[in-house]
Amino acid sequence: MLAIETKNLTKIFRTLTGKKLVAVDSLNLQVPIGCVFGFLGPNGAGKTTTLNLLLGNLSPSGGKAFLLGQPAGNPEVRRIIGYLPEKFQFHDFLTAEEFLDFHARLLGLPKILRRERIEAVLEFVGLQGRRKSKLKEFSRGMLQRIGIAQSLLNEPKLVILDEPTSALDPLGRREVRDLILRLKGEGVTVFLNSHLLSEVEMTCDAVAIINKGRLVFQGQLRELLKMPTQIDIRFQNPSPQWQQIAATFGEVISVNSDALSVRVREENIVPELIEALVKSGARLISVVPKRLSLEDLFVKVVVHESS
Amino acid sequence: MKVVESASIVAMPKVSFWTRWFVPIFVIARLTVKEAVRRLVFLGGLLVGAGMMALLAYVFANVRRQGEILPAEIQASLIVHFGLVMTRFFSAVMATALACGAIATELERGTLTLVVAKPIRRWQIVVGKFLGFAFMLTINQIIWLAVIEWGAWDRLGQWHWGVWKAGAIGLLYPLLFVSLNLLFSVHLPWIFVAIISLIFMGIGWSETAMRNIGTLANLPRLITLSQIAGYLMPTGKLARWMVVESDVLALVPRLSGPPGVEMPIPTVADLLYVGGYIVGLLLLACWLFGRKEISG
Repeated sequence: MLAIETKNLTKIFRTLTGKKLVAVDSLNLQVPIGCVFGFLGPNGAGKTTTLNLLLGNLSPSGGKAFLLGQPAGNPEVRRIIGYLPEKFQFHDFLTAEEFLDFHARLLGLPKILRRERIEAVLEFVGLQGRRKSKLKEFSRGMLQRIGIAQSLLNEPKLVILDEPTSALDPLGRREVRDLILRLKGEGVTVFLNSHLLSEVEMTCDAVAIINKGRLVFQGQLRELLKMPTQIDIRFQNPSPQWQQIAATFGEVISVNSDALSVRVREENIVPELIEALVKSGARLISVVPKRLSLEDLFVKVVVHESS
Repeated sequence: MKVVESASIVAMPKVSFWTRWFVPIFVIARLTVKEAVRRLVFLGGLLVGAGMMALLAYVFANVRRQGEILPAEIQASLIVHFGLVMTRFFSAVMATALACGAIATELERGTLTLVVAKPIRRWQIVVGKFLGFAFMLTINQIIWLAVIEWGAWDRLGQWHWGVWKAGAIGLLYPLLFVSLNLLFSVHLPWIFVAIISLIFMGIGWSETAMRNIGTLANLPRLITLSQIAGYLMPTGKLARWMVVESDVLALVPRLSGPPGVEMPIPTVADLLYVGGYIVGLLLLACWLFGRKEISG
């Protein structure tokens, strides 16, 4: 069962001079139900265009897209999805309650259910005390939270969040991160488009990376982070011999007077390397494993793809 | 996008016919009204109208002070006629001010971005906005007509029903501008829409001027141009209907135009044309917005 599925989804824009601009190129995404899915890519990679294709705001030049099994662009599927765009401006003359009521009406919720849901989402985002406040009195963080609240009014099966923590301070980011994890706990699929890779790393189960409109990686985050590990070793008795031994276990990246950095394919190679060095007479001061962060991997994947 | 088979189908919530097709329209209309109320343009229009009526009253009072007493019927007719002219002008200005930024500008600002992501058809947004504006402009029209009626009643001591008959037809005037603005606002920012609206207002007014000059100077081409302008922007057709229905020509016949130029007799076909024109613009706006690619 998939929450989002695209099959060769393509979007080509034409400039005024008739030049073709491929924004999304044969994209095949598969987002399982119930996971938090990070959608990553550098600026101009085609992330927002993909979101607009999924929401039916743009019509594809080729391929197909499905949300919860329904063709993207079908307005009825939007009854069971929630969405918060990156660039939003609310009707700020409304109070928080009026704003949520407006969106609940658009979702076709009956009166009694509207009241219940407004109550529930205000509590969920911690704004029950501000229900009568006008949105123009809200801080950016509060607006982001009320935006998330409106995306949850219909108890969606799938929530699409486009840069939900942009312009938030660290505390606000943490709150949003907690909200996402709570949604995950309730079995909601969250499709997260974010630049903040540290947050993606903390919240997502799976990720897809696109570059220049093409998918360059898709899979479990664990799988991505299994990629080569780097270790920095410092010696009490430096010798060129240690470098030769290390090179048999992995790639020696740098050599200093008393230290060297090695990149190994898997973490379980590290004990074998240490054992070999010690057996050869090396006296070690420190062994520091440097796990690559998602950011390092992201840069690596994107740079590799670009080159 | 083609509807094709998929391996995984999630049960969709069942909603009634009313909820699916009508509720979104009224929700948008309601918000449009709320938004219009808080904008000063509505209040501003009313204040300008009240100011103009006060000015007219001052002129009559001044005439009376100089000993040249106009008959009450003539005074009432002048109030009705010029009141309705002002109603036409200010309702068109108000319609433009309210509707010129209705779609593209709201998408640019981001206020419509969340709305289009809801289970709503694009045409429902256009129709909802149209109804919201129409409601506001009807209220505005009723207030203006009440002020004019009060002016006439003050002179005659009785109701002048022509005000309301003309006013009802005159409501088509701002609706015509609303649909015109909605159509152009699908793709253009508000400033361009407002300029286009002004140009169309000018085309509509030029019809009468060209017809009068063409008739007086015997220029058939100018008369043909005037007819084309009348079809391109049929405000003249509405204005003539209003003059006839306001029932002032018997007392002040010259209000229909300069000496020697007969005002064309308005027909029901003219009204049908204006109605069709408004509906046509609205349908075109719905169609264009339905095809618009939103990439914000």
